Amino acid sequence: MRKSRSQIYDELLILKCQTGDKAAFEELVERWEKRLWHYAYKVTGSDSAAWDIAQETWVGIIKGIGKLGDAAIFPGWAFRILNNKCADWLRKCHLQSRLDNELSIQAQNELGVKQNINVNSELLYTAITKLSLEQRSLLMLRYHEGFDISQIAEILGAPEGTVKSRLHRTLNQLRRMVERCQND
Amino acid sequence: MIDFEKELKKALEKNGDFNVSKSETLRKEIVQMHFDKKLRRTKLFFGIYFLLSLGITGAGYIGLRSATDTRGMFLWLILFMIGFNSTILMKLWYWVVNTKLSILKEIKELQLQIADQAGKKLPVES
Repeated sequence: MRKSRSQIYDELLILKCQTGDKAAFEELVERWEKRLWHYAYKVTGSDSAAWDIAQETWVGIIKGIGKLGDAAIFPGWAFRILNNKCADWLRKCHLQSRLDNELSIQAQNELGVKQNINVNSELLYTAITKLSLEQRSLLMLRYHEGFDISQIAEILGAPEGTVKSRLHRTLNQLRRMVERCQND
Repeated sequence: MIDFEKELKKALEKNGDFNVSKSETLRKEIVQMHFDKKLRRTKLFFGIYFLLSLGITGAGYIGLRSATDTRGMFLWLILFMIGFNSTILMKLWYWVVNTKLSILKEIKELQLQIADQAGKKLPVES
């Protein structure tokens, strides 16, 4: 499989980080922080939590980057750390159900501001916030980060078949939610 | 990709407010606090290991010189050998890791150059 220039450059930065290059690490953080923060924000729905989780993830990355045998697996590895941190955060707060309510209120408020997006997108956006952490993670990894099923399975620590069926179920659930909202 | 999936992708792309100034502060904090700290810790660890190995080698040597019986000489010699070999092993390990990383870096740089060249349009032959 041919790699893009950006992927090769990331791998080079990781190798430099492994030799203790501070500038390379700074650049790596700069290139990846927005992606990681965005994922954490989408999964937790909280701005401050996303920053905390992103920071904790970077600390985890610093601890383990020296032991990373293959620089090419960095994206999956980093997202696995991030996903675990998100899960830890939600577990610690015991807020899953409350969070869902807050998120739907927050999403409703945001919908009021964002007027230049079409109806389907708005409905989907609201519906996504009502999904569980696992389902949001799945959708983010597949449709936002563009990981394939085997990579997602590795990140989530689940068999490929399970990931496929969960994804299928989540998409169906999302479709039903959107249809219900459209009918209302 | 079907329409629903395209819409889904669009909905997921909507960003929250990514605070750039906060990100810069966070980046500096991560690099200065954690990355530097880890590097210092690693250097300290290797320093201690090296001094310990040197200490064992020195103790083994002094013991070997001052030993009077064969059994004592043999035990001190073993200690000396352990200390001496551990310093060599450490240097060897450092050399192997460094060489591996520098080769991998060279390969990546070459791959980057190739990717750059592949991205450029070739001049049209007249």
